[in-house]
Amino acid sequence: MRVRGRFVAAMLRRELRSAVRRFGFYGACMAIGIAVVMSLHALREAVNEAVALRSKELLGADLRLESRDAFGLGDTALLGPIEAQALAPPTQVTRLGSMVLAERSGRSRLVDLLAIEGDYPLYGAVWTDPPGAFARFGEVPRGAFVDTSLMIQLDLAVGDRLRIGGESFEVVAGVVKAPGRFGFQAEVAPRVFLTKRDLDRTDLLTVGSLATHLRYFKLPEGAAADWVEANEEALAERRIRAQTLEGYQEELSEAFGLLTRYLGLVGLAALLLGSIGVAAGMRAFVQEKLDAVALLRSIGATPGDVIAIHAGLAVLLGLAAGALGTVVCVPILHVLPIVFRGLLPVDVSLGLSSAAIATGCLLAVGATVLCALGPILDLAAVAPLRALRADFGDASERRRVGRIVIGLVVVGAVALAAIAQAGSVAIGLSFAAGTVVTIAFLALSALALMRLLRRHPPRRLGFWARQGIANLARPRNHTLPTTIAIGFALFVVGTIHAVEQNVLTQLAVDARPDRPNVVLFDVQADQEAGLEALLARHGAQITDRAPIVAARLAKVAGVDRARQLADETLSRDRRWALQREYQLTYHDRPRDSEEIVAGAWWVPGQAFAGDQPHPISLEDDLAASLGVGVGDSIAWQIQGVEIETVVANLRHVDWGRMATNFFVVFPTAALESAPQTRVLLAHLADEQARAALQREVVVGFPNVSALDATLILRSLDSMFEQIGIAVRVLSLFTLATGLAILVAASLAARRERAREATLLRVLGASRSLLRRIAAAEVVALAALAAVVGALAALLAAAALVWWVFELRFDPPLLDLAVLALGTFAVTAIVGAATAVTAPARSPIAGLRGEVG
Amino acid sequence: MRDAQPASQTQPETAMIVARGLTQRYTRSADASAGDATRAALTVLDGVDLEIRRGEVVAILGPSGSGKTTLLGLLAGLDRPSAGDVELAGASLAGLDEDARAMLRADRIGFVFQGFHLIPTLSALENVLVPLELLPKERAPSRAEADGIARELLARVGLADRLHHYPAQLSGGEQQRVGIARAFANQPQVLFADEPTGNLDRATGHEIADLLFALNAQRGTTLVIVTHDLELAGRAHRVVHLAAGRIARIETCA
Repeated sequence: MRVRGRFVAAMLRRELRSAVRRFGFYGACMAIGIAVVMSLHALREAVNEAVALRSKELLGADLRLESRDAFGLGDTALLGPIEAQALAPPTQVTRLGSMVLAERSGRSRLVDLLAIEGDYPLYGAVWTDPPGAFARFGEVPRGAFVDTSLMIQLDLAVGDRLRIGGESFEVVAGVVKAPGRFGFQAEVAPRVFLTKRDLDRTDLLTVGSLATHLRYFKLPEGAAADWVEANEEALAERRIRAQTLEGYQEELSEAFGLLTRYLGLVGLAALLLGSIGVAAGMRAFVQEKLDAVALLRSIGATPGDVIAIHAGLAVLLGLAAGALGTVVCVPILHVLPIVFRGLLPVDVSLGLSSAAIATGCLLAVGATVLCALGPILDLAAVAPLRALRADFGDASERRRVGRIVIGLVVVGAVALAAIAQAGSVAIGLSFAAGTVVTIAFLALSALALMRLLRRHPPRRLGFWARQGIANLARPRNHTLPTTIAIGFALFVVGTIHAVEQNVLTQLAVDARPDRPNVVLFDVQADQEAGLEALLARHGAQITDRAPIVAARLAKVAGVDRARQLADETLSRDRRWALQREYQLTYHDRPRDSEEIVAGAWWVPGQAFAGDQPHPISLEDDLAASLGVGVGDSIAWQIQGVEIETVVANLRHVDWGRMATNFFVVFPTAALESAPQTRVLLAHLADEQARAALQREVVVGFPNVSALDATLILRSLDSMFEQIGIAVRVLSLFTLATGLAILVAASLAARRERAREATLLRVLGASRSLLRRIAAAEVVALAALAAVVGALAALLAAAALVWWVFELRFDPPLLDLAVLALGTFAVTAIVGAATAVTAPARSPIAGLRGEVG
Repeated sequence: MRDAQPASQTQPETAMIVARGLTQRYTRSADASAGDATRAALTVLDGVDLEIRRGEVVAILGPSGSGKTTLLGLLAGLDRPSAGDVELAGASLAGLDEDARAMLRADRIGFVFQGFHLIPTLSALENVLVPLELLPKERAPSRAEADGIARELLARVGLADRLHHYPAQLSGGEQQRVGIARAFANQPQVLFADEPTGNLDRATGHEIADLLFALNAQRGTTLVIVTHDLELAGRAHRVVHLAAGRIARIETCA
């Protein structure tokens, strides 16, 4: 293929003049998506950087060890070497969930107690209100430092008294920021800091209470990682979780990176949409260029020259879109940290790195070139003979094959971009497939509706309405890209909303009127009767109760747990299932919320011989994670005793139901005598009565935790809301892209519309008629986009809820209707604002202008 | 009189275009405008033999559908014949691929079109510059030289004060003047003109034709004009009458 550089460069320079004018708005469509992807990239970078810089402060140490059992003399051999390297005496922290009661306001809540022995934190600081108060930590006897979020929740002020266990504490200061927690975490589980000496006074720490023991080390660089690596097996054996600085840093970055990656997919959707706009613009551009290209070919330009000119044009336009994206990015960068406030581990201020700009520009160029590929090859195939005969078409088989190849290349590129953005092949491919299917659905339904209108025009309507509606299907219309763009935007917003509605209402909120809303756990056997009496006095009804025995896995299917954990290739699910602590229960009949899916339940009340493994029931998803089925053996570690079991059946559990649901159920005879606590579920409708009940529980049963489930759901809601807001803000960019395409299409059609308006004026149409025709077209287009978009959202949400979340789909028809109406209104207004309703010049001047 | 003898190999230096057995058939099944009745091949040109000498002015005359434009397209190498061959300035077009034919056109051929075919996004001057930029390296003038040539040509066609106007800002006659300036820009050996006055009124058509013949005489270019304007055809050295895809007769003028 021959290309003449000088000629191409000269033509490129000249073409650019008109192309920039024509493509300005299409560039804007793409720029929005580019900006979203770029800003999320920048956010991720900034968070990673800040986390790397400040991970010592965030963790508060170089190494943190975590264990359910207190560190003691038995650990000397294991911990001795690392303690010898420590640059400061290690700090010991005991973490314990407990109820606290604010004596003045009478409010109570479950909190995380942190009892500290030694210097805390080893790095960074505890920021307090009033400032600097943490310096006095340990000086005030029975003094507590509490998270400021708890002070708000319990209406506490500095100097107030706080009842913890059997003791009364003085609130010395509020904690604004301390290592280990960030954002909404502090709201879900607020902390109270006190000394170990004070904790011991409360008598909360007894044998069997669910405390976590933490030990913080200040170490020379690299010492922690080396020690952890050398002692991996011993740590697993002793059930000590070691958190090194590097690991913590990775965890924080990964968790947040995952979020931005998935949100980035929304940005990618906006970019894709922008690309559809650019592709539509390119196609229209090519239609106008056919004659000029035929001329160039006839006077000696080669197909290579033609490709080079227009590919060069696409690259330059892509660069311009990238540059525009950078500009659009700047305000987004200011908004993002606010939107993500509750989800960020560190405060960041965002700037654009040259890497982010380069990524954005590269993405823009790539997308533009892909969009332009088909049209450019069409141009290269223009026969020079067309300069002599305008009707010389050449729809050859080769071009059809070429189109299919280009289509595959584009779909492949979308899939690759999605995989790169999501960081996962499965998610990337599903995203790409979902997007392609949706766009195909939108396109096909729009085409079907257009065809219907053409075949069966609404005869009963007036001329203006018929003319306006017919405009949607006339040659060189922009109906398809506009419908796809607006419809897709509505689809994204609508689907997210409908799925969120269904999943949140069904998963989090049990809708039964008598659903339990008070949860009492850590109830000792001898406290049960007293609590029952207390509940009865407040008019609460006990709906459910269950014994709980804490346990860990020892062997699965005969293989040692520690050995399985040593396998680096273990899936995340299996690692989690092997590592977690289990709350076992026992009962002899399946419950209402459970359904046996494999195997059979044991004979109730059956006594088992001591050396026979006990039959147990496993939740089906857990069994899948552990890779076991009916008949497999599992050994449990319960309070130092190993108990052999065999899986008798698999259960499916309705987790959405507010009840005592368990992963593992033992026969009563097997666990009855093991050390255990109880959990009680009760229903008490009155919120004030619930608060009073909680108060009395704190005073009369200090070790028992009483949860108001309504409050927990509220906290969870606020977390989902944080993520929901982020998603919604990003999906708005999709809508913005859709509207930009609408404006671009409207402006591109302006000249033809003006010509048509002139012609109609010459034929005697009044200005009001022209306006009505334009209005009919805009309204029909907006309705088309809103209907197909809402339909796609409904179908996609139903599919997701059914197949991914496996829940019943309850179509939020009213919400979708409101969304569709809103989209319709915005589209109609924007469309009307850019429509041409009157000829710019006098009719006769307009017609003369056509001759040249 | 009929000039039926194919070009002989004995006079290659005087023959600029030699066509032998030129035949063009179209199967237009993909084209809806052809209607379903004509799915079979449509023979537009049927075994045309023609020889045009260097510096000669030949008009191709005939009614609509007689194959004039098809013949022009084949002679200029814009299309490939179903059968037969064209030798253009000593090169057999059959042996050349798409790129080579494009290079040949850039080097040795000029066009004037009925519809002017100026590039709407380029100014008059830039439209004339395009063929100069397409010239092969050894013939390509420098940028300044090219600019000089284009300005001179536009001055020659009377548009010295319209250099930076866009086609939309020019009248039909002015646009065709730019078209003529462009056609001569690369100093072509052969100039093909397809109904050059077809879109113009009588008076303007006259002026354009005068300009075309004057420039042609001055530069000694071989000129092939397709037209159905008898008066314009009468100014050629020879007139080829086409009918139903065949040469009906060839007339030699004064």
